[in-house]
Amino acid sequence: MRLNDLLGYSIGAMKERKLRAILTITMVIIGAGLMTALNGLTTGMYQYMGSQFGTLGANVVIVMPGMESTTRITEQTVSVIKQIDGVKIAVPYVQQLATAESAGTSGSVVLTGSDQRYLREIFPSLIVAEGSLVAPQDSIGIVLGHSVAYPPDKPTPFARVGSVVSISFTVVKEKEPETVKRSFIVRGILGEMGTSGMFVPVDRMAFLSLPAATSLLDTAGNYSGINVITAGPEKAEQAATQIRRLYGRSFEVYTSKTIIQLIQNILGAFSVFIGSIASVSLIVASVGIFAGLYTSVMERTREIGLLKAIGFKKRGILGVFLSEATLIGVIGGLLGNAIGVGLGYGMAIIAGNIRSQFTSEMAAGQATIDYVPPAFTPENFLFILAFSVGLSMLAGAYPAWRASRLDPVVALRKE
Amino acid sequence: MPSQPLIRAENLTKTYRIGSVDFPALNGVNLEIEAGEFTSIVGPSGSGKSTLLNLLGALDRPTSGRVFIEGSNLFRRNENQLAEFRNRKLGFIFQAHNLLMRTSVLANVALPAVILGEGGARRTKRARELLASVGLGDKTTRKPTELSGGEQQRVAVARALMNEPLIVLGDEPTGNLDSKTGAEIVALLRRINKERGTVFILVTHNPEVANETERVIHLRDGRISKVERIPG
Repeated sequence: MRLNDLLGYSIGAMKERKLRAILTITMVIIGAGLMTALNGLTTGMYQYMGSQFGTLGANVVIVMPGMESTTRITEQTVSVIKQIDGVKIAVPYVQQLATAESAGTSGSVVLTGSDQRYLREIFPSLIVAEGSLVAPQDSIGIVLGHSVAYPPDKPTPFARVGSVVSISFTVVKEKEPETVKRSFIVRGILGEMGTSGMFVPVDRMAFLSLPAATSLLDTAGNYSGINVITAGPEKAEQAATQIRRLYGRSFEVYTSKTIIQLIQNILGAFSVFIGSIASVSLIVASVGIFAGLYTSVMERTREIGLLKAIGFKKRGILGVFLSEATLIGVIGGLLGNAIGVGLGYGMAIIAGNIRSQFTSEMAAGQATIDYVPPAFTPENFLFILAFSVGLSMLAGAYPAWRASRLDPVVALRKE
Repeated sequence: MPSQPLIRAENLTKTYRIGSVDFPALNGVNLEIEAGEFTSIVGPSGSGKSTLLNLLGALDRPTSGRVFIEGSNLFRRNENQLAEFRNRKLGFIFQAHNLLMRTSVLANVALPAVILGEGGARRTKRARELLASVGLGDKTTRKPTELSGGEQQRVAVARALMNEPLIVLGDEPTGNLDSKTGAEIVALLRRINKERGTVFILVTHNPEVANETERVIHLRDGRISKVERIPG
């Protein structure tokens, strides 16, 4: 029997029980569609994360105090780290969430003080769009991140080069909240880096010189962290290992690679979870295919007897029913892929809305991720298609086998 | 050297076991059918005529005994070879439910050639010719449900002839038809037998049908009780 005849025969049989075929295919579409959509969402999240952390130089190691540690980062830490093999320079920084005010409007910024001569090495894609960076000893200059200077939700710029910006923040001293406020002159504005949130929100930062920041924030010789610049990506990993060895759990040590790994670990577990939910719906669909085909075999006993009488071999009958299962898997998988793309975009929009509501309620100062577009790769499409077809064939195997084993004499006796 | 018969059944026995009890359906049947014969098998219900037809049609295997067709031992073949044998050498006409209701008359007739793997154009041409020869040349695109019972049986006849078989086996081929239509079908089979030399073996309990055949084999309790030559 030729393949096109076989397929034609199967399509004819499916048309005869159109509703059942449509329902079975629909089950596969739902499963494959869900898988496509959820896969697309996690892949999109991966790519988004990747773009977020791509801004950190591959030769940079970030050292920060550990979550549960009381060990402080001081000038002494900086000089120890400077000695480590492969380290070119260790740039300490101080950081504080603060409010910036200018010409009657205000917004939150991540205030960062550090020696800005090394800023371009830490963030290789950083561009000074207007003006210049702040000199190491400049005590009144400030550089604004792109979305600080040009708030995306406001039509007019927050400040320009030369504007005066006042920075204020609240500290609790002897149980009394105290607001500290000081004015700075905008020296420069950074180009957009596309990193509105997450780990290193450069677009939402405002940079001071290190001495200006330490005096404003009154840090008493403690740093928020150190950006360690090494001779290259491999040196960065070696230096990170060395720092971890020296300080144990006192400090958190990140490289761009470990950050990406961290994200991937979290997202990886998440996507396995999501993926297994979606695949359950495909497994349910395959039970449906099984039930549908099994019922078909029972109903078509007479037909099978007739086919055997006129010369169908066992594997011919097997082929007829397996090709029905395969067709269900192929059609369902392809349509599922297509519908899953739409579903993925819809879910991304809904997820973005939920996220922005959450974050605006939780902390007005935190950066928000409103919308992360889903991403679809050919590998994902192929995998889901193969999974749909594979499960369908598996589900069809037993009914097909039963059909092929029918005794023609018994089958023909059935009316 | 005597010419060998087309079909020779030797001591055919078929026993069905139901629970622990054996039911002999066929009990030592010996039979020879020559090329070009038009034969009927008659007998009361349970006499074993359908069992005999199933064995001659390679749909079932005997408990003991042998069937030779063109001198070769039929049941030496494995299941796939038997399926191939049925496809190439045999045609079947059943009492009813012969056809796939979902496809056209033409597709039904062409089905045996589809199994054979024959190309679409050739098999369609032959199916059309066969339908024309059974008087349905104008109904090739119809669905079987749109045809009368007699017409449906004609389609079954055309399909049985599709792969130019040696033997066509009919299991009560007129059983569901009124006597006039039944007689027309038998006349059609007779004509094909004359024109093409195809062997027909018809199981029937209708004496009118049996009387139209050349030889009537009477079965009773799984044995041949009588063989009648009908003078034609």
